[in-house]
Amino acid sequence: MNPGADRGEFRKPAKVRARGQLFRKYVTLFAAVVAVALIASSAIDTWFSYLEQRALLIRMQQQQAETAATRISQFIKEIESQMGWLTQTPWDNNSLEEWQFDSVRLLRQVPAITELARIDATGHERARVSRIAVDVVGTRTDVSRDPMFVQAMANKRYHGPIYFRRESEPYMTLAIAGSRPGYGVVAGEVNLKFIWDLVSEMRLGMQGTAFVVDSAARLIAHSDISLVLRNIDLSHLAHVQAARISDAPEQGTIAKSINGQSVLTASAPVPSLGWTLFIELPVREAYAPLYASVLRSGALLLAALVLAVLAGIFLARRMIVPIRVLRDGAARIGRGDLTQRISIDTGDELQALGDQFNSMAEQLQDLYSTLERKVEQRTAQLELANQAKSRFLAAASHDLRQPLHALGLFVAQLRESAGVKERSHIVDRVDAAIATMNDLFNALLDISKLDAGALAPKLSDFPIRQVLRRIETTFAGAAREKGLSFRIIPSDAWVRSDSILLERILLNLISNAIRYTQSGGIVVGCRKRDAWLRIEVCDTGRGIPEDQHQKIFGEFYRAGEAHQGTGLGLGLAIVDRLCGLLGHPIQLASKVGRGSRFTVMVPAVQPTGKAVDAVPVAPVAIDRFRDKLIVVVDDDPLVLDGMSSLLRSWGCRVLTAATGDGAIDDIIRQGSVPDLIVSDYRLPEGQTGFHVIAKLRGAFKTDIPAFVISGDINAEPLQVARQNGFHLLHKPVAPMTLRAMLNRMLKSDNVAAPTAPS
Amino acid sequence: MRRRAIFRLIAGAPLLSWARAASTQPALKTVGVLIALPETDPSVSARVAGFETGLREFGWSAARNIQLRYRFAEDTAQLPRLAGELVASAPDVLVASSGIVAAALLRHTRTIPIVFVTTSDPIGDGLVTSLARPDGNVTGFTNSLSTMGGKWVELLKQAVPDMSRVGMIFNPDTAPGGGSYFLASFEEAAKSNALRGDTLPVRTREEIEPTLTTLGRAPGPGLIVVPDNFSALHRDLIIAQATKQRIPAIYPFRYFAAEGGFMSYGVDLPDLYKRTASYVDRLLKGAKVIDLPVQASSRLHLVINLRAAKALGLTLSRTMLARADEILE
Repeated sequence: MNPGADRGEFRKPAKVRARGQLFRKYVTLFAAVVAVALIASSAIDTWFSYLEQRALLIRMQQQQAETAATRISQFIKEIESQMGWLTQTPWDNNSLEEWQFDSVRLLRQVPAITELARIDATGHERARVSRIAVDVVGTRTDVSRDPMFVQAMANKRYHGPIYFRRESEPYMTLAIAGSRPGYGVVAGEVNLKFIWDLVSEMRLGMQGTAFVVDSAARLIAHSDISLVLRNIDLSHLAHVQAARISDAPEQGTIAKSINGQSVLTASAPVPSLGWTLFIELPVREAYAPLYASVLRSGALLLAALVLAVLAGIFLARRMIVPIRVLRDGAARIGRGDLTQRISIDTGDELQALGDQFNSMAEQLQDLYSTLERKVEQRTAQLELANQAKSRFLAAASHDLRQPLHALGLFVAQLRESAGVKERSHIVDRVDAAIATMNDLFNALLDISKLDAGALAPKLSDFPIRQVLRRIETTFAGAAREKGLSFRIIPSDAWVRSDSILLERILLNLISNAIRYTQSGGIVVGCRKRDAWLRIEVCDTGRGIPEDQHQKIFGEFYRAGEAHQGTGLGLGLAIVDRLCGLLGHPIQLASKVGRGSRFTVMVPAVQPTGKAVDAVPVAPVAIDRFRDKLIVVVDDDPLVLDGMSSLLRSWGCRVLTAATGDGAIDDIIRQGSVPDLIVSDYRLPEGQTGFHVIAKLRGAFKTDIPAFVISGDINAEPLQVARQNGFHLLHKPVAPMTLRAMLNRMLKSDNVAAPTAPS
Repeated sequence: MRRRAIFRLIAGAPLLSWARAASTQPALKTVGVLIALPETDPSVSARVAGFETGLREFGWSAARNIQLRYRFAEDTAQLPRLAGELVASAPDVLVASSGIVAAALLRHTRTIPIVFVTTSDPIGDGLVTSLARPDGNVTGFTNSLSTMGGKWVELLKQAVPDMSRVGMIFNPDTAPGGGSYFLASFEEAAKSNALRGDTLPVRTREEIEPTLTTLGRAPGPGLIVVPDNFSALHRDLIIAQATKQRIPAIYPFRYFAAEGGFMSYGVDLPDLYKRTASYVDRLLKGAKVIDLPVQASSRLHLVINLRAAKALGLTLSRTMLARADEILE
């Protein structure tokens, strides 16, 4: 057998069976309990009623038997005593008529006697009176040897055997001796049909019989006369035998009757005759009421069982139906139908359970809908972010297009115009456009860096004073030019932050303030509140409407419809991101026409040690670039051309390599070691500037200073540069930035060279 | 079986009893009763009443579970026709009022059980071969032993001591043994009582009057009327003629004395009808004839009609009066 298939087959019916099991269990249990109780009670009841019925029957039969036996006995005794009157005197022929008269009267009084005979003391029959035959007198028939006479004389009375006249008339000779031996004997022929009448008149149920047997167990009388006529010997019957043996035989035994029927018997001796009277009642009839009661009990039991099963079904249904409702409800909830509610109205624990299920489902549903709402919100947020990104890109490209467009126009102008003065004017304008673009790219780069998480704040404790001082230096001139008052309230507080990034935040805020303030001034102050230092930048600008308070932190937001041309619209976006990065809450309080106040909350700390001032920027020394050999690698010929022109104008020697290994090999071949390598980041054939630098360094076996310029806006080159310890500039690189980097690279080279142990 | 019983119990008693009543309706038992006397005969109502009372004692009621078809013959000549009719109606049991009636029925059926109410000599008349075990389809009750012939003579002589001549009237065609059944004991008793005993056979009603007239002319006459359907049918005439001719007569049944006869000694006929009912009951319940022996009646009644005695100018002895079971004033 395949065990897998077997299991598969087995599982299904098991599940089906499990469905109705509880129900069937309840019904079966209920029915069984009721059935056991009923069966037990009716069995006990039946048993006791059987005993009672039996006892009653036996008692009744016994009484009937005794009554009948007594009546028979009395009947015979009556005959005997009547006959006794005829033997009061000895036989005397002279009193024949008198005796005849007495006899006739006796016959009249005792119908059972058919004939009477008078026997004298010598055993001679002297007279005979008959109902059916002619009376006989004057005879002297000798009966002295007759057992009748002998026994009557000996025992005072004689009961002869049963004999039949005319085949069908049972008779017995009854003889009574006189009170004295000389009185002789009176013999009567007694028709025992009177006993039979007596026996057959007994009411013994439908099929009950009574019979009388003599001492020899011969049938004397029976309800069925035909049996008597057959002169039957009944000594073989068990109860007859028992009665013959014992004086007080057990009553109510069950025995076989003459015709083989099972009968309940009772017997009573007929006093003084040695006869026994039996009463037989067929067992079937005797116990008929019992059978009926058993049947009745059975029917009742059946009815009760049916009732019990019905009640069981009813109760089990009451129990099971709510359980099934629970199960189905739970199953539906399990399948995810959380609107499902279980409706049980039984008012018991099951209802409570159902209610529990319902509240559980409700909570699940709440949770589920909360989750759904959150997912929806997130999706909406993502969508919004996406849209913002798109908007950002559109805005950024628009803002880049403007200076580009301007540049195009200026270049065209340059070609046309020949005047030196005019040219220098145009070049100034070109510078300005480039500066704008540069600013824009720097800002974009900042945002990109912040969004990419590439900027890791370096937290340190420092006095806020340092930052404030630098800001003052930076903006004092600009504010003065615009005719604004600019005041910084000094503070001795220390804060925990990244000083560079915090400075950037404040720079942005203050440059914004100066930009949007036409009159009045700007105040920067610090306030300590609990664990925070609130750095406030207040201006007297035009203020920001309430509904714009959030929007101003978005990219490319510019206050007011009119484009001022000076702002990029990225300042506050950067501020917002930086504050988020540093964990400095930023607040805005502003009213249109009443100025604005930006508050940056910085964690305040206890002053610790000595403040380290930022390294001042060294003055630029042009001479440093003189005759330096600089290798420029870029796959764009235009860039190569621009870069080499610019570097040569600064007095550098320039070697350019357009692409790939060939150009690099040329540089290596020319022999002299370059002072600086400037390479584009992304080069053809999957190469990067780092490869080129590494190759050149390898070729010249020296750690030539180098930096990379990248046109990519994403964070990857920056990360790679950091990992390799390179500096990276982003295109477009302003000439000033380039110069600053050159300065830095070559200076460190100069400084490093003498200190290096060579 | 038990299951059916249980079903019955469940089905409910009212339905059950109704069903039982309906089912027993067709099982109505029928009993044909042929009585060789006119329906108007004064003794008929007593016979019918005795029979029906007996049946009622065994639970048979004409209104409920038994149908009794009576036929009455005004003349023995009608018996064959009526017997044929009754047998043709196929009753469950037939009842014959006397031996000749049973014989008439027996000529038409050997299967339907026949119970005769009374007869004297069923073996001699060929109705049965054994009294204890009747092996045909006939059984019943006897009234008088043959010795009764002598007994009647003795009783009549005791009542009328100066009787010197006794006659026994019978119809040789209907009397037991053609009249011979009682003859021996009759003649013996006549002899022992020093009487002249005469047999008086009569075959028709018309012969009764001359016969009794002749007997009445003799000195000290006495008359024995034997149990015979003929004498029962014509008892009015016999009693009237006996009275007219001043003949003391003894009859076999009480109703003779009740209707003016001097005395009667014999069985109690209504009692025999009741006992007949007991045999009818057993036969209807399925008993076989062979199990029902021919029974003799054990009760003999002596009835004396004192008015008739006075009319005859008789004075009855103390012994005689003591002997009488019933004295009709």
